[in-house]
Amino acid sequence: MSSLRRTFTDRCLGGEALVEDIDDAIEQWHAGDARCSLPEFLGLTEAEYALFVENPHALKAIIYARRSQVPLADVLEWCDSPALAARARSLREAKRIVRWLHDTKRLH
Amino acid sequence: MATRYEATPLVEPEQRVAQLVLQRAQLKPPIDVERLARRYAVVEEDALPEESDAVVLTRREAKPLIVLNRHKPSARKRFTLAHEIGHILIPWHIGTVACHTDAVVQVDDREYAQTEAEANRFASELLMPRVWLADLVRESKGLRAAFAAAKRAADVSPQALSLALVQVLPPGYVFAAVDKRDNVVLSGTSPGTLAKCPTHGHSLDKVQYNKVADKHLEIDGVYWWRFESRGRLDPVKDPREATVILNDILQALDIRGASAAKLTQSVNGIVGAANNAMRPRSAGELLAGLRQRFLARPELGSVIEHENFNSFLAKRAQEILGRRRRSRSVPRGSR
Repeated sequence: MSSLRRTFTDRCLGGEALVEDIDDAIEQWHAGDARCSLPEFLGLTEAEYALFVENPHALKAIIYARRSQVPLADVLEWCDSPALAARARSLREAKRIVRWLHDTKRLH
Repeated sequence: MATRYEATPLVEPEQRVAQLVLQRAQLKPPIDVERLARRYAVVEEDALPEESDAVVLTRREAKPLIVLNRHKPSARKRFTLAHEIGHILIPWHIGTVACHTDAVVQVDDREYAQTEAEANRFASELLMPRVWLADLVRESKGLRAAFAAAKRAADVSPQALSLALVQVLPPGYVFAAVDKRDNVVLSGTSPGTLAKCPTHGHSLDKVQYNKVADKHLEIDGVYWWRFESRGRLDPVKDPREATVILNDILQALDIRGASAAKLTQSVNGIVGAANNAMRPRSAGELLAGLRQRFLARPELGSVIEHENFNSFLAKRAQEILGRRRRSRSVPRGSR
C-alpha cells in the first residue's frame, strides 16, 4: 500500500468523508488490490477495527480520540454515560440539561 | 472572552463536511434545513432550560435527537438546526451537547467552545456556501445589494450573514454588531484587511472608524466600513521629525519615564509591522494603512487621539518611504 494514500480515517479528519462512508471504503478494499489488511486500509488499529465491528457507533469515538489525542478507553467510558458526555457552557448547565432530558423522558 | 473572527481563506475540515453534504444532496440556497435535519435526526421543539438554543442527543438504538428551543426567533432556529446537523455529521463530534449558537459565549470549557465554533462554521457553510456567496457578491451592485440578496435566499440573521459575507469580500472590509449598550458583540475583517476590527466587549467607536474609513454604512443593524489601500499624502507642514512629534505628544499628555518608553515602543512596533505587511508603493498608501492599523487600540489611549498624532503618522510614512527611495538610488558597491 502506498504510504501516500489517505485512509478513510484521514479523510474523516480532513472533512472529506462522513462516517457513513465506511461502507464504501470497505467495498473499495474488497474490490481493489490493496496489499494491506482492511483495518490498515481504513486507518484503524486491529483493536479499533474490532471495536467498530462490535459497535459501529464507536467509530465517531475512535475519530474523536484520534483528533483529540486522548486514550480511546477514556472516550468510550465517557460516551457510555450521558451525564459525563453532556457538554455545555458550564458544568452547572450540563447537569441541568441532563436532568431536564431525564425529566422529559428523553433520556432513560 | 474576546472573540475576534480573523478571516480564513482556507476551508476548515468542518466546512468541507458541509460542502460534502450539499454536494451529495445536490443542494443550493435556499436550503430546506428542516428536511435535511429530519434525514439524520428526530427533531422536536420545547422550552429548554438555561436559554440554550438546542440540545443534540446521540442515541445508540435510535436516530439522534435534536430539541430546539421553541422560544427563539425563526432565523436563529434555522441556523441552530444547521449547527446541530453539524454535530451529527462532523466525524469527531460526540456526546450530548447543549448548544448556544451565539458567536460569543462565556464558557468554562475551551474544547466546548471549539466544538461550538466548528458547528457554527459548518452551519454557515451549509446555509451560505462561500462559493455561492462569492458569486453573489460579484454579481451584486455593492455590499448592500449583496447583503439583501443573500439574506433573502439564506434566511439567516444579519450577524450570521455578516460573518459569512466578510470571508468572501475583498481586502478592506470591517463589520461590527453591537448590543443595546453599543458594546461590540461580533466583529470581523475581510481577508488581507489592515484595519483592526472593533474589540469585542468594548464600546464601539463609530466616529473614529467613520473618520478613517473611505465608506461606512449600516445594514440591518450591522455597521460596515470600507478602507481603501490607496491614500494621498499632502505635504506635512510640521518641520519636526516624527520621533520628535511623538515625544512632544507624550510630554503634552504628561506621559514620562517607563510609560513613555513603552508607548513609544508599541507605536513604533505597530508602524513597523504595518510597513512590513503592506510593502507600500507610496507614502500615501502607507499612511492609509497606518491609520487603519491604529484603530481599536485602547491600550494606546489618548496618544492616538491627540491632534498631532496624524501629523506623526504622515511624517513617519514620509520618512520611511523617503529612506527606502534613497537606499534604492545608492549604486551597488558604493554601500
